[in-house]
Amino acid sequence: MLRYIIRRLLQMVLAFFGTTLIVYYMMFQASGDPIQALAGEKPVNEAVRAKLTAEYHLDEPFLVRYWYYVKGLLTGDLGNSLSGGRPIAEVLAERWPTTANLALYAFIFVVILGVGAGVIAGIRRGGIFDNTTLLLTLVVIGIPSFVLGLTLQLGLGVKAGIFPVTYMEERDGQFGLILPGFILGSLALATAVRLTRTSVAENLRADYVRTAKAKGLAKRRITIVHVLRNSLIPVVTFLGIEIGNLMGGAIITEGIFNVQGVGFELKKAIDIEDGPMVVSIVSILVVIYLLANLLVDILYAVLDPRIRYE
Amino acid sequence: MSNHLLEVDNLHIEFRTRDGVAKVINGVSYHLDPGETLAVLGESGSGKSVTAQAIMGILDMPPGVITNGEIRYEGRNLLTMPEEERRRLRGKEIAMIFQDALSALNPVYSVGFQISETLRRNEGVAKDVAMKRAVELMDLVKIPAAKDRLKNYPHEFSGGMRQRVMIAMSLAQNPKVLIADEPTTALDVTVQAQIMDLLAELRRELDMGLILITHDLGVVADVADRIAVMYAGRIVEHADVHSIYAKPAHPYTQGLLDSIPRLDSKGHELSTIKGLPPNLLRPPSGCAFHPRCPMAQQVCQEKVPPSLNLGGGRTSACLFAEEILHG
Repeated sequence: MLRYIIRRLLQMVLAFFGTTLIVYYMMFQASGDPIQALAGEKPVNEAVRAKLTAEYHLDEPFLVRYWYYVKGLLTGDLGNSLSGGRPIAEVLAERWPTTANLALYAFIFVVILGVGAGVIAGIRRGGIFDNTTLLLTLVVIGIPSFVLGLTLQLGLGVKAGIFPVTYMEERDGQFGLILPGFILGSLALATAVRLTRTSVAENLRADYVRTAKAKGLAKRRITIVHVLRNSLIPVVTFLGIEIGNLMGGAIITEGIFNVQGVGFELKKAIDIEDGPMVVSIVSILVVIYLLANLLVDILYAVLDPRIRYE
Repeated sequence: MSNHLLEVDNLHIEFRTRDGVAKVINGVSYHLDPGETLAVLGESGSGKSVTAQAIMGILDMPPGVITNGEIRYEGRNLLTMPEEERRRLRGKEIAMIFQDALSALNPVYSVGFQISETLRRNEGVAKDVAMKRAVELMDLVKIPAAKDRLKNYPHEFSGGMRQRVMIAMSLAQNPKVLIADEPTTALDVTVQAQIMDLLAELRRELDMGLILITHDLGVVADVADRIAVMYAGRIVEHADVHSIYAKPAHPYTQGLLDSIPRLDSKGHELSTIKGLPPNLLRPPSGCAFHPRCPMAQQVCQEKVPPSLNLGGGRTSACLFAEEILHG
């Protein structure tokens, strides 16, 4: 097990350098004039050009510059935003907790409603509950999230007045994130229902379940101890990767409800062509995905002994 | 009513599927006494496993429906017993082992956990005591270095060792009857012999009744006391092992015996039973074996042969049983 984790960590280090190298290369090397690319279509005067050349070490070889960039990334020094000139790290430190908070709500919906409904549907395959949830998940998967978001905002926010229409942290607190969280998690929720249902239904037919029955175990124990443990292996993998997705910020959901998280900031940065900000967010997203995948792989090995020794 | 340990009496089972009703068990009766080995022999689809699953109460219902008959254990009818009471008999009185131990064991739990599980859950034995008992059981089935292997997972064992784990698990609660459903089919020939020897030895030592389900006549010769040959959901011949090998009383048994490869027939083509087992959704009229039977007459298409008593506990469901036996 320890060897497995060490090997996965080493793989992660490789993946980190690989992905950041590509991101960095695309930012500065793929375009002809990196400073012009940073500034977008606005003209760049000589003073700014000289300042940026020094700041980004543009007169040094590519790999040296890459080294400075990685060092900055690892030490939390991401440089300054082009708009307003605030340190990027400071802006992101402000945004990420909101996104994490929103992601937490989405994740709770996915785990409790998604996995819960999936387990029940899997056990009662072919029943009314199963057919109803299958239909509902199909609807949710079929509707784009901006349609679902705007519809629920109109229905539950504007008309029914149950939830705030837009999110204001000081006014709404945690309550204001429930509806955005549900919408952010809806696609993953529907997928989790289907994945869990299939997995449970499949495991209920497995040979080892027949063995457990023949041993004289109670039905409840067979379901909880034998079937669920095996069924949840693929579900946990899915959930782990979803953590990465949800933490990455939600441009659409955060946009609809005016939640000032990472997705909100990313969209702003893209709109005003704030290159360093975009690259910083993307780089951190890469790290988050890598960590989420590491978590998944470790959990996978914990749940399934067959993985550990390969 | 006789006092056998386990008695299957005129059992009828149907599978009600979308394509129609398949009558998979059509009046099967057999019995088992303490300490004896009954081999149930037959091709795939002959109903030997379905009968065993009905005894265990692990038959999938639906699609399976038990339409008639009784299964008596120590005189009590299992089929009318409340489910909770019946569950307590499973594993404790009647245990079962399966063909493919890799899929029949849960992949995510250690063998120690699985062997000791019923002791802990159903008998309320403390965990450390149950684990000690698991080591004893693994020693009993001759798994080397049992204590060190307690925490290993099923996939870390070889096929033969895995089947031993399965056997150890089935013996945890000292059952009086062990049903072995093709226990050696998934194994190498040399390992097959070891597992059969082990089962025979355990049966002797623990004085269990053993029902050995197999399609391999070679496997049963050394260990079985009696043989019940099944075809299309019926027992076509039932006799003690010596009589049946000396002189079968049913053309199907004859065909099975002839199809065993022999050293002295080297160079000759293997004898086979022509044709395929019947489709139970549309079984043949009369005797189900008549389309494949070398001795079939007109009457075989018309009349379902009753089970003829040939004396000495021997029966045959062939209209010409006497002719075969004495001809």
